[in-house]
Amino acid sequence: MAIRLDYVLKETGSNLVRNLTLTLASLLTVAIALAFVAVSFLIGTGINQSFLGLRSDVQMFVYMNPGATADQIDSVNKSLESNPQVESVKFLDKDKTYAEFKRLFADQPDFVESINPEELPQSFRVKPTSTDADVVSAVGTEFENMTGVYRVEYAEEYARQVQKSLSTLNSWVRLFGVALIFVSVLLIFNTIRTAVFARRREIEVMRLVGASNWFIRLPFMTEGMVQGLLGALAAAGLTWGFDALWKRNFVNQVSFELLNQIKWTGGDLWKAVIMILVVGAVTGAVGSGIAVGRYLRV
Amino acid sequence: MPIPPRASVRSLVKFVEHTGQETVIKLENVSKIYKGEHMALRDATVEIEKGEFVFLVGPSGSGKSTFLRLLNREETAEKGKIYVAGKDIAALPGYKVPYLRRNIGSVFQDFKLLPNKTVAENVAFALEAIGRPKSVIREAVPQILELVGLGRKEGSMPDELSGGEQQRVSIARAFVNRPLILLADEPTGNLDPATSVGIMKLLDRINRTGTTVVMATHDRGIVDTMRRRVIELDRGSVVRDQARGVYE
Repeated sequence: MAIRLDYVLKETGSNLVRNLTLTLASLLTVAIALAFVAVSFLIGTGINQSFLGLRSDVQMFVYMNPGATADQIDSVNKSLESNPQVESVKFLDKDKTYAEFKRLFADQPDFVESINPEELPQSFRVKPTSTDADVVSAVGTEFENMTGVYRVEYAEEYARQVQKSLSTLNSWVRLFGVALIFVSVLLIFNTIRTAVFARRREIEVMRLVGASNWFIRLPFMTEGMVQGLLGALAAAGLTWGFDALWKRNFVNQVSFELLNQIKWTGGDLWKAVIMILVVGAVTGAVGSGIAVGRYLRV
Repeated sequence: MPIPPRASVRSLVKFVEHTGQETVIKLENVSKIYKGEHMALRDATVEIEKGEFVFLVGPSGSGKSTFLRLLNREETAEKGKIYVAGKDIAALPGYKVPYLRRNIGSVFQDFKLLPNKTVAENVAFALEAIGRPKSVIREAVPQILELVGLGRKEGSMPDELSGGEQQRVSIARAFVNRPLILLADEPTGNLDPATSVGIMKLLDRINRTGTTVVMATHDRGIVDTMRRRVIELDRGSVVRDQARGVYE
C-alpha cells in the first residue's frame, strides 16, 4: 500500500503546530544538549590539534658538530632511520636552523645579529616510538658516541608531564561529549514519547480501522526527525556563536597561554555541525519509531 | 456447514454461491486465558453466518468483550481456532492483521472519537488511515454522514454533539469502509433508552445491507424488542445460543 506523502506531511505539520509549547520546549533542550556536544567536540579537536604537535613532537635532539661532514651526517641519518626504536627523523640543515633560531629569538634582534649562521649546529629531531623516558634515553646514548655528533638532548620531563595531563584532559572532554550525545538522544526520545503518549488514542483508532503499522509510524517519525533537525539547527547556531566568541577572545591572544593554543579549523566546525544534524535527525526518527512501537503491538 | 480451514476468499465465494450461505465467523473450542489463570473464554464454539445480527449477553466479566477482541485480533486465543471470512486469523502474520481489521468495523461504549477533529474529519480519518485516495474520501464521507443522520453536523466538533450523535459518528467511521462485520461493544451503554432506540435502528439498517453485526450488550429491553439471535456467556462459557432469542 502506498502511503500518501501529502497525508504524512499534513499530519507532521499539524502535530508540530498543535503541540507548539511542547515542541518548543523539547527543541530548546535538544538544541542546548547538542550544542554542548558540538562544543566539546570542537574543544577536544582543538586540544588534540594544538598539542598533537607537542605530543608527537621531538623527544630527542641529536646535535651535530658545526664542522660535521656530509658523510658523517649521512651515516647518523641512516642509523637513525634504521633504528627500530625511532619512529621519525627530521633533519634541520643550516638554513632551517637559522630560520628557527631567528623565530625563537625574534624579540632579541641584537642577539640574533651576533650569531653567525655557520656556527649553529645542524641537528636531527628524533621521535622515538615510545615516549617512555627510559626508552628515549636508551636510544639517545646509542648516538652520543657516533662520529660527528656533538651531543644528544632530551625533551624535558616537565614537558612530558604537560603532554600527559593534556592528553588526559582531552580524553575527559571526549568522554563528556559522548555522554552528552547520550543525554541528547534520551532527551529527544523522552520528548517524543510524551508526544506519542498524548496521541495514544489516535493510534488506537488508527489500529482499529486497519492502518498498517508503518502508516501509523511514519508521521511520528518525520515529526521526530523534523524536531531533531530543528533542534540541531539551533544547536548549530549556538556552536557557530561559540566558535566566533572563542576566536575573538582566546585564539592568538597572548594573555591566555594555554587557551590560545586550543583552536580548530572551519572544517572542524562543519564536521561538528554535520555531526549534530545527523545525531538530531536520526535519533528523532528512530526514537519516534521506537516510542510508537509500544502502542503498535498486535 | 463447515468450511475448509484457510479457504481462500475466492473458493469461499464459490462455496457461498453453491450453498447460498456463508459462515463469516467461526470459533472452534476457543479458550482465552489472562495471566495464566483467569479464563475469559472457555471452550467456546460458535458459528455466525453472513448477514446475521447477534447479541452477546451475560454479566460483566462473562467474556463478551474478550469474544469481540478475539475477532479482530486485539487478543489471541490460547486454545482453539478462530476463522474470519474463512481465514484462520491466528495464522495471519502481524503485517496482515491491519487488512483483517479493514473488514471489521468496531463501535464502543465510549465512542473513541478524536476530540480535536471535526465529525467529517473523524470519519475521513478512518479512510485516510488505510490510504484511500482523496477523491474517494470526499465522496464517501458526506454519504455516510447522511446515512447516519448527521448530514448537517459534519463541521461540528465531537464535544458539541450529544452522546447519541457521537455514537452515530463512531458508527459512520466504523461503517464508511463497508466492512464485512461490525462489532459493537455496549454501543448503547452510555445512552438513554430513547437515544438507544435510534442507534439500534441504525445498526439494524446497516445489518440489512448484508453486514454481519455482533453486539455485546446489557440492555434487556433492546434484546427483547429486536428478537435476534442471542448468545449468552457465563464466566467464559457459552451457556445459550438461541435464534430470535430474548435476554433471559
